[in-house]
Amino acid sequence: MPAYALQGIDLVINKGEYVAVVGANGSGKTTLLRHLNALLIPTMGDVLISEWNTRDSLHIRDIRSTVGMVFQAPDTQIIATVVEEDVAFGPENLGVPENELQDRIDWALEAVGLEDLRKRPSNLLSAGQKQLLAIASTLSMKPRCLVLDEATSMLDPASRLRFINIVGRLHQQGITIVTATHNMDEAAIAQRIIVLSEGRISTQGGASAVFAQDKLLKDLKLDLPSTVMLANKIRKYLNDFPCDALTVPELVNTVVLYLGQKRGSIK
Amino acid sequence: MILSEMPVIEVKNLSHTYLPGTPLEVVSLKNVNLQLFKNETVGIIGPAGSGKSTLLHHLNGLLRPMHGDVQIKGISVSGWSGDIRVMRQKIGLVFQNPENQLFKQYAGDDVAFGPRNMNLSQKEVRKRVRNAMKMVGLPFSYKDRLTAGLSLGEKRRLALAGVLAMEPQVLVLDEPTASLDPEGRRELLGILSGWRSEGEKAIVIASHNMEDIVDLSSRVYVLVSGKILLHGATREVFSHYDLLVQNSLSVPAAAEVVFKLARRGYSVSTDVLNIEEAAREIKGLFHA
Amino acid sequence: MPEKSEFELFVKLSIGQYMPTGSVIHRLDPRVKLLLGILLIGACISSSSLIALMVLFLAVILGLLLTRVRLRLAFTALRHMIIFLLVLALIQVFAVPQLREGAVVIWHRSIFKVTDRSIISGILLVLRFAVIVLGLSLFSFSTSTTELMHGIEHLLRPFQKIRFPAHELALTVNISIRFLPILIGEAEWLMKAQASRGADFGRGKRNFIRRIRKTLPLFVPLFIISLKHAQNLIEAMESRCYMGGEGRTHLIRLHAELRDYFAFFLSIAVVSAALFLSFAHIDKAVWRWISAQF
Repeated sequence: MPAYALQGIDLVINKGEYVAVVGANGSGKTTLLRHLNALLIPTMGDVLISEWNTRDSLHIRDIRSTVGMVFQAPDTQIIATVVEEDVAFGPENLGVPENELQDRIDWALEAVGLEDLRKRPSNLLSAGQKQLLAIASTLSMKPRCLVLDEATSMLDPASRLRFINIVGRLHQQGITIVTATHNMDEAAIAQRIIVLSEGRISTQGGASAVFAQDKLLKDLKLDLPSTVMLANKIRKYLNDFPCDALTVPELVNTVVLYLGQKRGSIK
Repeated sequence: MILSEMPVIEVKNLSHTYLPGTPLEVVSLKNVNLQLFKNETVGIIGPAGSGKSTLLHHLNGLLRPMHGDVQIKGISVSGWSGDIRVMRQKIGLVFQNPENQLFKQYAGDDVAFGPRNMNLSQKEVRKRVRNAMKMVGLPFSYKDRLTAGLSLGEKRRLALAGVLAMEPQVLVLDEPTASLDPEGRRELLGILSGWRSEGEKAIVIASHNMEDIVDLSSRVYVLVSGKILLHGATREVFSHYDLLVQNSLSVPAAAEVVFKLARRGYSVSTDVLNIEEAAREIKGLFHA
Repeated sequence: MPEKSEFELFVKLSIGQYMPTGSVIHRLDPRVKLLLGILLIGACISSSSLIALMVLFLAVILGLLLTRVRLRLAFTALRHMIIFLLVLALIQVFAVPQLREGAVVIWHRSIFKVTDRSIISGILLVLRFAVIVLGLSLFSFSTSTTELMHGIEHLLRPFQKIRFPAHELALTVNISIRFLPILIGEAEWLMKAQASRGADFGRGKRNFIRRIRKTLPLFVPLFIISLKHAQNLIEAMESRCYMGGEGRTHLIRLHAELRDYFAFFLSIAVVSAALFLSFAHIDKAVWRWISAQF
């Protein structure tokens, strides 16, 4: 067992990025993410969020309202018994003036599509809805960055898709996203992927670049997204088939374009 | 696949209502029919809340049929006069996230829990624990490790070993690969195939993960809102792409690519289940 | 854990079920209901008059009728306690003779004595329990746990000035209540999982120690799960900047309305009447009047 859960991590996450952190269980993903909102303080080295150092206890509130975190288990990140009260919990803790609370709640609930459920008892939501509520409850603190710690791993495929789409929309609205996952199809939509192994960064880069390193990923016992695997397989028959499609629609388009090219060249 | 005449498990017109007679009443299963034969793996897919878990709990007698019947090797569960635990030994039910049920301080003791409950001799218990741990790929020396010190994958396999140690003839698994990383998933599927290949065993697996279902099952049942929407050979079931999508289900991603191409008018066969077949079909487009 | 946990255990709990019917009782301020609840319990315990308790009993029944919840449901909880109550009552009747003030011994065998007073004691005990249980049902049918928490928190808020952790307490109560069905669901899951491995949870084995050991497969994992839940909750609360009740603003502010004041004073009147009847020894007076007729 490694002596440190994380070792020698040098990492910069820029405003507006969408970063996925992948790695096997035990590679340090969760530990890394917990440093981003000061739930964990580094043994060595520093973590800076905006201009604040996470070791500085005076600015914990600033840090945690700038970097919001959504966890894996739906039930245990809901605090209140009513949806809108859970969304209110964060801003209430920050002392947001009461006339502003309602607006923030409305905005957060609309952003995740739960506005109709505002008075619903939180226990009665489905797992997917609970995770969306968790996002809303974090959004109401107006964070600049959203950190998702395997937030979809307990969801069924339909809920997972809905969740990812909403996260994508939030990203488009300017929120920085950091997500830890071992679902490669999910990681594929990120702009940058960081691969962790035994507490160290093994490689990082754009999604296509990372997935091109299939030997490394295989050694680390990680999968490739199904679309990349399919493209690689097609490449075995057709040498110049492009391998950069990351989602199903992208791959479909790639096939269509490629076919058009080939047919065009036969004429 | 050789179908013996009598199914190992037969579910006939099973219906189940949850909290009957109260304001929270919900019909969880409606007229479900299902068969499991020796030497096969059957998959059950369905959206969240479709009743998969409820159905599985009927297969080893945890739930008694409210309406309809469940028969194990021809004997009806409703009329089971003996110790119900005999049935639970023959049909091993592995719950979702089974690592949550581990409670013994030392790993080996937890695996031994099942066999000990069967009142087997000390020697026999030890033998079964050894075999079970071997089957799941855990070294026998792990028996003296602290349960709490194991990783998630190891705990999952330990929990599975705990069921295998009872030497069931049928394994029923609820989301066996949930929360596992890719390596853990591969290991688990390998263990299941390996187990089934020895002797006349059968597996029922309920999962959200379509790739799991495709990899392991020869037949699939689609459960939606407590009713069987569709069933048949795996290939047959997954060819109904539109129907599956309408019901919040999907097909393996590789197959989805092919379906979408077919929709656009390209001449590809949609009889595709995995990456190999999808690649072949797509390749075929270029040789026109 | 399965997404849809099965509350088959939950059905047996008839106390603690919130039944939203929108009745006038439902719309009362939870602070009023809390205070009246405490008042009712106090009055019950201090009344030693059958008539006073009957008054309280009728008041609670009236309250239950006003909630528009089926009366039968309130009595279900009582029904489950009936054995327990009868045993207690019998103990009171047979083993606590109340030999003062000219008690008349009705029946006597070895150490057991039944006096007229002890019979009345027994009846009083049953009545008190009934009133309290029905009162609790009245409260829980008409008050959601959310309202309960807001009520507690608002009542205790003035004490926050002297550093009393009102919000922390209310939050603790709220989270505990919220997790009750979750834990019950998980307990049920565990029972099923362990039963599938051949566990039997101490069916009538005489050895006490052995029976405890048989429940370990249930309690040990449940305990571990609870600890994990607690840890997750702590991380979630810290991530949302919870630092205790000080300095927080509040989304929900309770406002007492006319009907709340009305209900409050009406209930005080009823309870006062009951207490008066009790202390004025109305029972004796009525008994004397009845005996005088024959």
